[in-house]
Amino acid sequence: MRTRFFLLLGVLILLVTFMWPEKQLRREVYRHEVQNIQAEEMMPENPPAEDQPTISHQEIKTFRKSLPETQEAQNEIKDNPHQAPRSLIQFAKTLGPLMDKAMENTEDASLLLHELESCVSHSTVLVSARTLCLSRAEQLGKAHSELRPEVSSVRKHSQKDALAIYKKMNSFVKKGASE
Amino acid sequence: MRALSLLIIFTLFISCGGGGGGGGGGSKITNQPQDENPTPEDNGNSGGTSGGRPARIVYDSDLSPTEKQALDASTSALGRIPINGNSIGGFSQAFGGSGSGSVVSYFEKRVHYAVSGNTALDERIVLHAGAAAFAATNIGSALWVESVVNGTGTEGFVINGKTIQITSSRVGIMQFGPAFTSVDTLQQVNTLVHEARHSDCTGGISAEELNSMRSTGQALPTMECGHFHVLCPPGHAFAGLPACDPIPWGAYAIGAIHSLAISRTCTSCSETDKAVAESEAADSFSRLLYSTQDLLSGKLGSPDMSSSTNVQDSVP
Repeated sequence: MRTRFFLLLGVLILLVTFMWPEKQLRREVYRHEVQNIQAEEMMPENPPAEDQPTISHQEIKTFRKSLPETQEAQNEIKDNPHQAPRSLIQFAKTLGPLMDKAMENTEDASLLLHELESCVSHSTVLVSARTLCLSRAEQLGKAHSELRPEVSSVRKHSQKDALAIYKKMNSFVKKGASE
Repeated sequence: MRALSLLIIFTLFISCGGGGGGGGGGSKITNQPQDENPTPEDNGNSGGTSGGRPARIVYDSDLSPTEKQALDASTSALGRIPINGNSIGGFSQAFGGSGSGSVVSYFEKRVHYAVSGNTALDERIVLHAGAAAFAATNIGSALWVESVVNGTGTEGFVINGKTIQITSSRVGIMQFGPAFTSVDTLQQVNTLVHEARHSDCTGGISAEELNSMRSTGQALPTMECGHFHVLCPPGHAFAGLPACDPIPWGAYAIGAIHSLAISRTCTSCSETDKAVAESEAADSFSRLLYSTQDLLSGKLGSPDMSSSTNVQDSVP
């Protein structure tokens, strides 16, 4: 009689031990599913692009890697003095798609402006590449007025030589426009 | 020897030349020549912004398919890029109009024949009787300047079996090689605009310039004929390299203005195109060794886009 009682108790303990967590787990999974569905229902169909940058870390890495050094450009120019250095053009081509994104998305613009500031402040970077960085920063400032402080910072960090070339280019545009 | 050193200097501006493998290719010739020195219709003042026709240029039969393809694309793009030169200082004075049509006219006045980078130029040069032979690699205006310096130099250059007389710097023979075909169309367009300016012998050649070339084998840095480049000064990113312009309105200034027009006014260009054009403009502006403020204000004079064959040969 006693033995039967203990056997039954053992079976009951075993059942509770194995069945309870599974049931709990099912409940948890169910609860999560419900939460997910609720969250999805609450989210708009097209989340606003402004929420986060779409420029990837890889793109930023590639951008940094493509910054042309003066020494590198000098070696390219030795082979072909007439044309713009290959590395400068490659850099411009890397920057182009990032500008596409940054012109449309403030977060991307903010991210890119940070990189452009770094570009203009490195004196070892080819002056025409730094000039390009400055001019693209100014372009982003026109597209995103809320980022003017960031653009000012890029301008402030620009070296004199790049700033001078940028001003030269602008002076040609201004004169033409007022003609 | 003197002739050889002169040739080295004169060929500095022929950036599209150079050796390289490959080559051969078809004999189809597009844009047939009108005459030895074709004068394309001048629509320079027509303005306009886009949709223009391609620039006409005579293809030599030795051009490779790759070279023809690059030239087809770039001469076509030259007339198609929708730009507004009215917004760029100096543009209309330099190109004679505000749109891409004026750029096509500018180019056609200066460049008429395209020669392959693989063509052995010395086999194509026709010398005056009695003239010394030389290992020439130069063409176009360089041939003309060389013939002026040597007195009796080159008489002509053979294109498609026909001898083209070298009568002026605007004979317009350009050699297009790997440095041209390996880059994108937008860069090729920039090269076309830049190289075309080298066809201008602005103001002719003075006696002083001629004497200098004859005695030293070098053009004076102030010489406007051919708009040769000089070594960039110490402190410049390209110090010691023949990649700077000492004279206003030279090839880099003209190229810079055109690139700036693309980067700042092109209505159909991608951000990448604009970035490339802006970088080309920045590169060209960085090579100007004079005040661009004075250039714009007119202190350095308006761009003289004429070309002269006047040579003051005071030395018998």
